[in-house]
Amino acid sequence: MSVDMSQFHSVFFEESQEHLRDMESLLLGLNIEDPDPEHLNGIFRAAHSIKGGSGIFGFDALTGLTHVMENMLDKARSKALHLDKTTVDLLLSTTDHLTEILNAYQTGSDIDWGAIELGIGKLEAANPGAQTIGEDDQGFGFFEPLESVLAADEEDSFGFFEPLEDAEKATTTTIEVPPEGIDTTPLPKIKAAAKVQPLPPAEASTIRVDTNKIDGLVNLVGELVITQSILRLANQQAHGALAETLENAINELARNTRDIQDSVLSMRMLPISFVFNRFPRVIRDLSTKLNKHIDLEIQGGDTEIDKGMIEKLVDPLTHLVRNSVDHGIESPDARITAKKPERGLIRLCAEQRSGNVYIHIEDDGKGMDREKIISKAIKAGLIEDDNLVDSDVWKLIFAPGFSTADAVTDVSGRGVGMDVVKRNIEDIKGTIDIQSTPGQGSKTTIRLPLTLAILDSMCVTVGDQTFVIPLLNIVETMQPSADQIKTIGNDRLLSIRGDYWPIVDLHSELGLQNMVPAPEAAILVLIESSQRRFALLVDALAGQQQVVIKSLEQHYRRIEQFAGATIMGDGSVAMILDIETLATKAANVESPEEVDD
Amino acid sequence: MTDNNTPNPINNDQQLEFLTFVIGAETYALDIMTVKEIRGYDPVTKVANAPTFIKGVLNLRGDIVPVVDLRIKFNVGEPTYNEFTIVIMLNIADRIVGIVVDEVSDVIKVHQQNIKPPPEFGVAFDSRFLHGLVTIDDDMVILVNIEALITSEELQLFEQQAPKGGANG
Repeated sequence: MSVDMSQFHSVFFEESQEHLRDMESLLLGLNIEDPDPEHLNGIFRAAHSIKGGSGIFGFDALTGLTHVMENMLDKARSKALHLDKTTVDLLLSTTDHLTEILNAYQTGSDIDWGAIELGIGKLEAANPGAQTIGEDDQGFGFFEPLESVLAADEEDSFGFFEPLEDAEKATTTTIEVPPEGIDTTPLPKIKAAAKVQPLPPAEASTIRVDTNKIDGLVNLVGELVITQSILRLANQQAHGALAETLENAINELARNTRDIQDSVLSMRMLPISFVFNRFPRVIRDLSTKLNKHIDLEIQGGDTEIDKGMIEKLVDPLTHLVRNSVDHGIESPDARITAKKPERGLIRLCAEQRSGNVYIHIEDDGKGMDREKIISKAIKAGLIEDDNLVDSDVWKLIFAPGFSTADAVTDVSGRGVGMDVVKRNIEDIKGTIDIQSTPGQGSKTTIRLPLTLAILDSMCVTVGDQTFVIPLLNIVETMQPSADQIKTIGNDRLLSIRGDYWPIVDLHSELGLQNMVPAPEAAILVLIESSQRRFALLVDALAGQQQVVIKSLEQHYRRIEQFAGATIMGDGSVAMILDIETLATKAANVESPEEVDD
Repeated sequence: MTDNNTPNPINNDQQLEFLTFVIGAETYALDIMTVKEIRGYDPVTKVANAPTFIKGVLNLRGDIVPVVDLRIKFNVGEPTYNEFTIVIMLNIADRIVGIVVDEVSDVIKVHQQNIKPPPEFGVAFDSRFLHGLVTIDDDMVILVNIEALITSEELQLFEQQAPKGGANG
């Protein structure tokens, strides 16, 4: 071994994890009565690739287990073995086992060989005749008998560079026609072979790139946009024919820059199915454990969101889905008594609408129990009486330490829950909302921005400085008339359409020296944060624009009032206001509920 | 004596290069390896609730970089800003920081043995932030331990240890 193989390990680990994920989702989607040969082939290929790779790197534990698995799958795709729920369960648990082994190799911890023997034993038991395979074990380059060299040649690439046909060809060349399957086997084989050509070469069309490189590119494109706006500003001073030529060139540049920006940003985007695809398994396992019958419906899995958000969505979504399974969907008996279909339904849905991504988690269970939530909230000292509208009651479950589960189970109900979910969602600049109808189910809606790198914003000015407010938080902007301004002590409130909004002036919040204008001579930006609503007083509006968010911490430090900074068209720096911090400031202004008109 | 707790890159007989700059009437010098670039003073964007010597932040080719006016911090010279005012961009501890000075003059080569210990008093800079003194052409040059200065708590350029409960929801 003169070649250092370890440099390829991380690639192998990553690819194998992907294969395991594919395998799992294919297994879950498998129609047991009439398995799609393409699906079986897919599962087989995944197992085969892991086996090949692990063989090369000497991860014998993986090779051993995948080998047996592969034999079984090979028989299944040739219809020599019929997969039923038990075998699919077994295969699923084997993928779990493989994930564990993979992690063990990755972290360098010890391999539990006993468990592997056990796993192999179980698989062999489910695959009668596995010991006597001989001819129909193709050997895959390791133990091949001479006759199958042809097939093995095609299989040698171990999935790393494997053209899609190979697996199918191998199938057709090496399958021993099982006696009982004579009239059924040729059909799917022919189908599979016919399908080979039009299949898109999925593996070749992607490339792995370090996210840092993409982020670097995003930064550079941001620079390009700024340079282009500087050029445009400079061109305003040019005259005559030159000005026109420049103008055209700058327009062309602007168009190209925008295109580059769009495509660079799209590189950071991943389909949300990366998160959604784990839930068939979660629900399958949980419903078995809780003895409930639950169907899962997934819609809009190809909706794309920022990669950074994908990672942070996993926990909150898992929590919400678990909640639906545990607390939402009733037991089959209870459902029949309630005249509902025996099988519960959970729907996961993602859609992109007006610059936001919406994710809905919906169940047709029993809905939330208003009385229970209220009594619990009173006990926890969150509220004093039950004089609340439903939507406010549902919001209570997001309070820290709130859980209505009667018994603490390992599924959910540890009392650390929805508040963490809410915080996780807010961390990625999203909002969460919940609706519930007793007896009919609950629906949680998560709203997320499309990307974390770019912000739709309103620029406002105070004195000679420009500040940026996320458009997401802005309800409206207005110039109030004097009679809309009410005063209580030193605090001022804006009265609009029967509501009172505390007025926060940006001048004093940021310690600016400028004179604070009277509200009726200034602009009020009505802002809604996750905590409260307030009206921000500024001198003027400077227009709406998309800004690239830059970190202040990279070279300096966090500043309480600012969520970050951005670079404006003229190359100067403008601060992005942290709405949540300003909202806590607004809390010091007298609470609007206590005001009598 | 130099403080033993501060990092001191001058520890062998090698010839070291320093960039000299002027604040008020005094000539200072800093390790040239920390200098990223030198540029004129452009207006900066102020940051809220920052100490007066932090002038604000500016855009250095896409990076948001803080600018410190050492003249205000150490109360030396006049904090005026004209076309001769210089900002030295420093690359320290993986960060970029700009410092405002009156003038940048020269690059000097200094032997370790020619460095005299800094005085305990009489210099605006705390002796913790000094390497020592050298004489160049009969002029005294104060060697600043710029890394110790920039990373010091006094300048408040780095996040302090005490966590602030800003990110709760």
